[in-house]
Amino acid sequence: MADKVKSTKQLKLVAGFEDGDDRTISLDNPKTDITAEEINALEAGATAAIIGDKADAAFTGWKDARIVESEVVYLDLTTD
Amino acid sequence: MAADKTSVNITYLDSKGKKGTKAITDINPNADNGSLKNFCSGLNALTNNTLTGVEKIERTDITSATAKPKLALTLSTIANSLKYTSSNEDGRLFNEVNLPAFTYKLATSKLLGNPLYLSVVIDFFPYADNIQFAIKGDTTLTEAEYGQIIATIFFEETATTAATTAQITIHATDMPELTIL
Repeated sequence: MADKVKSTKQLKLVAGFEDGDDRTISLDNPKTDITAEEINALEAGATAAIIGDKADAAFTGWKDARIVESEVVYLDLTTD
Repeated sequence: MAADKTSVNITYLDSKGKKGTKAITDINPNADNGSLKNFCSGLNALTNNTLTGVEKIERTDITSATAKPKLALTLSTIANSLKYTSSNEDGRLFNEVNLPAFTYKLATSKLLGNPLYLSVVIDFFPYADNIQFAIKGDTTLTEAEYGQIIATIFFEETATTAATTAQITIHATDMPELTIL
């Protein structure tokens, strides 16, 4: 048996807060053609929804958005 | 005492039809359900997943003996296009609108003997400023788990362009209103 390779992708949106801190929302199976406009369009909703552990520090916007690809190789341990 | 926590679960089917759940923790507990739903739908739209549901979960820390259970009151937002009864007095336009009686259900029956109070927010479309309003009628809720609210909102329009529709949102609070002496 050959090694098995499994690839995954995650979209990571990093939300910034007034106190300089941030938190990350990770989404599985992201689209490949995500635009900046689509992400920025969520800022209004994020302002109302996201609080993190920060009741006193408001959400200020997305600091970063990245798609992370990872590959896991399941090694074949069978011996001939 | 730990703060109360609110989170949402986004449930979906992935590209292969497999069920999945994404939890977004520490959501603003005061965010309305519509905003939360739209935000979660927007997040899911960045993926190839098919949204199947959005669920809000609220946790209340009742470890402390003096902690009050968090009130979650389910009330309907009164729909648009309420009919006004208008009258002119000294060149000022006054409107009176009767809220249709509607029932409410309290998510918790533990009110600790305190009455509840309502506040009203009116959004006019198109936007009209200088709106002053008062609420007539019984706007305090009883300790009963089910009940009815019947109230009249009385307001004055002073904007040059009269609003044609209004959306009224009623908020419930367990804090008593202040009385100005």
